Amino acid sequence: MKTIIKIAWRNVWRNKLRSGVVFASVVMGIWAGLFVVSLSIGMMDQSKRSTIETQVSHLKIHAKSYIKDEKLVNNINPATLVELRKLLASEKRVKSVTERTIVDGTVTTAHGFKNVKIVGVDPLMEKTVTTIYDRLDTGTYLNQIKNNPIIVGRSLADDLKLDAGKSVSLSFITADTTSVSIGFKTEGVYSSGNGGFDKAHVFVKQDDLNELLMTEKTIHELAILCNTLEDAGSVADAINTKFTDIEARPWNVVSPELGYTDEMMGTSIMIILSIIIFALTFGIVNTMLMAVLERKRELGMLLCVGMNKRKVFTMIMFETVFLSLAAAPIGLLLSWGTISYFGAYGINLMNVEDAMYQFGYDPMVYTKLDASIYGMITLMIMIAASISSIYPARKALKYNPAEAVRAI
Amino acid sequence: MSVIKTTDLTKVYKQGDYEIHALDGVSVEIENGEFTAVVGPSGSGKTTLLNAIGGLDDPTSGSVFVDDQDITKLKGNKLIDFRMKHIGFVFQAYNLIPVLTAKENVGFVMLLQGASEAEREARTTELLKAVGLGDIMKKRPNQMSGGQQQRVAVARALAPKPAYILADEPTANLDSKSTENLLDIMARLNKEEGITFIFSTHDQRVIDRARRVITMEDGKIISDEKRENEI
Repeated sequence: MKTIIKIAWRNVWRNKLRSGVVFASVVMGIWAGLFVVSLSIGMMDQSKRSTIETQVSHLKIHAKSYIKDEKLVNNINPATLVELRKLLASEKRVKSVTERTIVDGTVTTAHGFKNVKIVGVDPLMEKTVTTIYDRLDTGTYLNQIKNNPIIVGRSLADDLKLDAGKSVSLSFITADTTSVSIGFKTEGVYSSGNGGFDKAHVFVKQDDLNELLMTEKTIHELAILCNTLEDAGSVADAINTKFTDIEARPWNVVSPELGYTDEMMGTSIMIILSIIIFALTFGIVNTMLMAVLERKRELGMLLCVGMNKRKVFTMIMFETVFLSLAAAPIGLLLSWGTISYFGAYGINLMNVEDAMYQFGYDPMVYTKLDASIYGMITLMIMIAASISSIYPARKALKYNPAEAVRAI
Repeated sequence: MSVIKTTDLTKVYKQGDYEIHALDGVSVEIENGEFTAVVGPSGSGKTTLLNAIGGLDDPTSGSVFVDDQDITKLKGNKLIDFRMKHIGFVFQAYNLIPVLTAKENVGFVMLLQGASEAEREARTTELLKAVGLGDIMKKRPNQMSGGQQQRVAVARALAPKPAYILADEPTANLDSKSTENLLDIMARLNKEEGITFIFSTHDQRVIDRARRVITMEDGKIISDEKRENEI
């Protein structure tokens, strides 16, 4: 076996150019595949994180009636709210909580109007749960302007030609069903990374909004950050067990598409890697087939002098596996280096920033890849190499030794 | 006592609607220690006869007995094993393994036979010295002349101590000096070790030294001449 392996290894390097081309193809194939996968994972991961940080949080609590119909009157019952606050204060898995008042309304400027959700927040509480305050393109976060400050999203500001310091009119229906239009002053413009969200949500101070709605402090939504994302489900269960008129929903229920991200990525990774491996397999089979055809006389001689078919098959198999696997460590190393570098410093896709923003992606993408995927592609290459060896090896076994030794 | 015996050996190739009778009822007996040349024009059936005797190709009909074993009845790995143990081959184009050294090439068949490293070392060194290549044992085929490669091929054929060497046009690619050198080596091995040599050849230098010359034409033996000459 040692000699068979030695011959197989040396055979790989007999035609250096051809083996080099396959070698380079495997390296580039692995690198390209893993880099594309890491880029996709980085984008999806960032989008997921950004969505959780700015919109969904780890879990949200609403009155059950509000989930069915997002009306002003469907707020969380004050008595329930008191009990809920107590529970959350004692819950060790809960890191921070913010309470919101939400009403549908219209933002109007001289350049047009847009229907939005007006979200009343306590700026200090909100900062502990979301990162909108940290995503301001211009202005400040509800702490400089005393009367009726408002924070608007970048895409809404672009549509209505708004900027920090400019005035807008907010219209909505109050608790007594009166329609009101009140002037607000733009204090800041944020970019959550998702154009759709930015266009549909404005933030005002909760006290201002409740005063205008002519209500006591009305809370429609509690957004919660847990210690870890994985705690969200169990915390939601604990709340739902205790209360009947409210419902706590973890991030993957509030935003099911986020829940599918991991599953979708897993499938996408498998598809991308399979396509690359499939293409490599053809290249390897082609090269090995050429090698077998080129060495017909030599293989015929081996069969003549007593090398049995199993050994010939094993030799071709080893050659194929060596040809494929010799390049794999370099491809993996190159991938690891590139992915680590861009994972730390990011890739700036500013030239497609608008498109990225509209689809909810940040133009700065940080590549990311789990160690398990490096292992998975290595395994896939090994399997592909083994499968690739079957056809050329079978071809070699079909040679008639008498004809093969006389082949030109 | 004959050690190789063919009986009514035929080999028919089909080429479209035509049948080519490469061997047409060949019966021949070759005795132990012979130094035989099978001669004839191209297409006369020389190589086909050697292939049949060596078990490299199945005849269409007839039988081939080597040491009382009908090798036409052997198939697959049994036939490969039989060849490895009993028959050595020398080819026109040397057919050495390019990635192995002269010594590794010679020891390769022994390795397939399961010989120990010590056995291989002793035998390969002895054989390469015997064929005059003691000084280039570590060279690969691309570093050797054609004559040297063919001598390595002879040493390789001899390595597993076969009783018979079948050599198909072994001197076709060699110059005069290399041919004489090779024939001297083969003659010595025939004389000293009693190895039976069967050549298929066009080369008059080989024919001149053979002690038996079988002439073939159109797949048939047309003459079989035994000589008393000193090889």
